[in-house]
Amino acid sequence: MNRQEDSGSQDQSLARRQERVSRNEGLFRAVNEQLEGLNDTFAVQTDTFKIVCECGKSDCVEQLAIPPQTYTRIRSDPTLFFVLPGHQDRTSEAVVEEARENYVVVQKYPGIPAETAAQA
Amino acid sequence: MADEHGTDHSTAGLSAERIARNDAIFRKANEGIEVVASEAREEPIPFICECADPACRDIILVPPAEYRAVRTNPRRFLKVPGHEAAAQGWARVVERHENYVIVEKVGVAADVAEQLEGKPNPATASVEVEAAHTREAEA
Repeated sequence: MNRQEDSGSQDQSLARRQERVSRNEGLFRAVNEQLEGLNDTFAVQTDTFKIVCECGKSDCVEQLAIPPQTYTRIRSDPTLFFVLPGHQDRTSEAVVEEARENYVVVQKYPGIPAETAAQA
Repeated sequence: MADEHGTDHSTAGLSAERIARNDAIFRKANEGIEVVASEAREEPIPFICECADPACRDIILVPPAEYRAVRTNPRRFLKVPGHEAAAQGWARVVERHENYVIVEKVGVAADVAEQLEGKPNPATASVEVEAAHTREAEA
């Protein structure tokens, strides 16, 4: 394999990884939207509510506590996600907020990561 | 101290109807999750524990085929192991897995769960509880 073919293969591999990570994160975001809906249904009013880490690992179901107003603010941008510190995927996203609480907010990179996140 | 959800204390005093209704509300939320999960996905899907404790937000990973099999029976629900206690005896465990159990509603709660199956809003949908009680008494 020459250098050009090798580079193309790496690009495809990265693109597949970015898409998989974004799809997983989109699924966890859907879980959290249902969790938010449950708070409304059960009329739960608390300072924080429990969501699942929105990282790209399909087997991560760790949970974090988020103030409801912060959740609403971040959710309004489809390229932003809540993950536990250290759970960010460096090939797909950058940390844009580090809260004092036990979570960080990541933003998907433009291109495949952001486009897949917006479609999820 | 960790939150204790899904215990018998968490639902003490709730009626069979309320317990079945709470389970049905969680079931509805999980149906929303399954819609988003790709049909081709073979990896376990994160679902919300379907126990009767309204404060429970625990997550369980369940293989898609297993989830769909449970959903074919309106009396069956997925829960975190131990959270069957929140059913106050209105459910029995029919399958145990490493990270989740499958329970089947019994008695009035089973009747209510069947009536709420497919309802767009299980929190407010009407059910005939009196009829269910009558059938219980006659049995």
